[in-house]
Amino acid sequence: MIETAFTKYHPVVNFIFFITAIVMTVVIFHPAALAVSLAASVASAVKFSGKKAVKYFFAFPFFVMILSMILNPLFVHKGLTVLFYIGESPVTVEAFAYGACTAMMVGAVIMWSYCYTQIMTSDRFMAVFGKIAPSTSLVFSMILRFLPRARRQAGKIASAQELLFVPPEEVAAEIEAGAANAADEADGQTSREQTKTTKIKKGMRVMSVLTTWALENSIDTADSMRARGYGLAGRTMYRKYRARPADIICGSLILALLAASVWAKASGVWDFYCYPEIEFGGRPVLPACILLAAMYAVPLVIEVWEDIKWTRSLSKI
Amino acid sequence: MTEAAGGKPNTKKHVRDALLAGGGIILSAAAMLWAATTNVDRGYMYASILIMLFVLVPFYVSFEKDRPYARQIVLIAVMVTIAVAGRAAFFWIPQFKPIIAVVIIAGVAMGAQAGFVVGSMSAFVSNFIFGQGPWTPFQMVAWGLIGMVAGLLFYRKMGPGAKAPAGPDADRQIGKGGLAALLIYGAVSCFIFHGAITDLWTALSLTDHPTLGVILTVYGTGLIADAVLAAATVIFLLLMARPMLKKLDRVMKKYGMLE
Repeated sequence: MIETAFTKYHPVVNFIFFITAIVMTVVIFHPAALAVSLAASVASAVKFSGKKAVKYFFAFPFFVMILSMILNPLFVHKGLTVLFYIGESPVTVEAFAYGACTAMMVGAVIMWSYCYTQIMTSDRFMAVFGKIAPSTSLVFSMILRFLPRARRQAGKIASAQELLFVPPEEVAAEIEAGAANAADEADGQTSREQTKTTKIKKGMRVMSVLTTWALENSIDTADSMRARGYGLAGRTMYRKYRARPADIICGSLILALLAASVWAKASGVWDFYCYPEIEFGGRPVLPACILLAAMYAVPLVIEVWEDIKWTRSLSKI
Repeated sequence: MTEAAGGKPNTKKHVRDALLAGGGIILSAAAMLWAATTNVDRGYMYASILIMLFVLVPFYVSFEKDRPYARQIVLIAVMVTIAVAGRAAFFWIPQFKPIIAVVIIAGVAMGAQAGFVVGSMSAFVSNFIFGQGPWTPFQMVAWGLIGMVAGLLFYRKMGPGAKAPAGPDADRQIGKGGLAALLIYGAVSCFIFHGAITDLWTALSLTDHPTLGVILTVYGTGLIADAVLAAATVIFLLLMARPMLKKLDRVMKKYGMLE
């Protein structure tokens, strides 16, 4: 939904990055790695969509993270270092540590998904999957097109049906009251206060009408698709995405950093156990951490680089 | 699927689907075995995510290979749109959503395969509004299976082109018994598919080596939410199943989308 420096790269590069970031966040379960991932995901989200990302973070993932941090020590009583007891059950440092790590993981995955939603618009998604899975990606992008239309139509239907749910006696009473109450009528919303059942009934009716409308409309859409040669060979994309040298370099860089991180994980650098005692693998984490951070930071670096280029070009004028 | 055969001989399709399903099952079993024997930290979580993919991929490969017609694709997209719009329209009551009811109706009207696609797509798309996360594949499988089983159970008897019920319900697409069966299925599926599969992720993400106790605790805490969803599904099916099936039937008949 936004145009940034990162969206100038080929959609396949964008897609590879997000899948890599999400998978590595889930796979490397180590406080340092998770902290880096969480920081990078939040920073990227803020870079992509500014204040909206901050709002989103505090509206949703933040609470999930707190919940995860509280729930794990309450449910899991493994671990040797007991902090205190709740009733009979011990609350341990290890369980807290594990809860904190899961919290960071969940938070990072949610924020990477948020970034994904910002960057991978439906036409970019189509550019990745249009060749591999044409029907599925077409269904997906059609849904994205239908949803705002359906919402608009639902609003129209609802306003057209507004009076249908005022009981007839009330309508009659209102007519009787007539002119005398005409003045109150303007702010007379209270007389029409709806119970939950009416609200549900109303919603149901709107959905029913919406269905009829959508079904009829869909046939038109399908027919015009056929008229324009849907399913024939040699179709092209709405936008042409060509792989530039920069795309190939960026893509290979991401994959190389991914390979390095997978190797680090396989060779035990990222070993970390919470139970029975918190235990690190014993090998220095810093080099692997820098590689991992570099991978997570690819879009950030691209964005910042673009900003620098922009400010420089300004100062020259 | 009505149009899906697309000229291909049916046996070939069956063999392909059987191979896909068999491959998915074997890979899932292998993942399960790996999780049970490995001492890799959080093996169960990786295995479960892999299994969800092994369930999803064969269905979508089969859907792609069928090369569905434009009208079919659009119809699926419309059902998902209605399901997602319904989830958003009733946002003011938590868990009280018509989405499962719409998925079931889609399965009944369009068959098992389309039911799976509508269910899993609804989960995928609506999570763009309600939040994507590691739970998405679990939800996709759960809702996909709800739509698929609905198609397997009811498509032949109540789908478009099926014989109208005799007696007073002749103009209603499904009779009293059929509606009752649909309602029971709606309620049960909320627990066995939605509850069991979606909450699996919660259970697996909370601890590293899930015990039966943890899983049961998570399922126990999820019961109330599942019950609300089941109640919503029953109410929505009761009120919407007949009119919506009739509408779908009419559209499919009118535009010759039946064999």
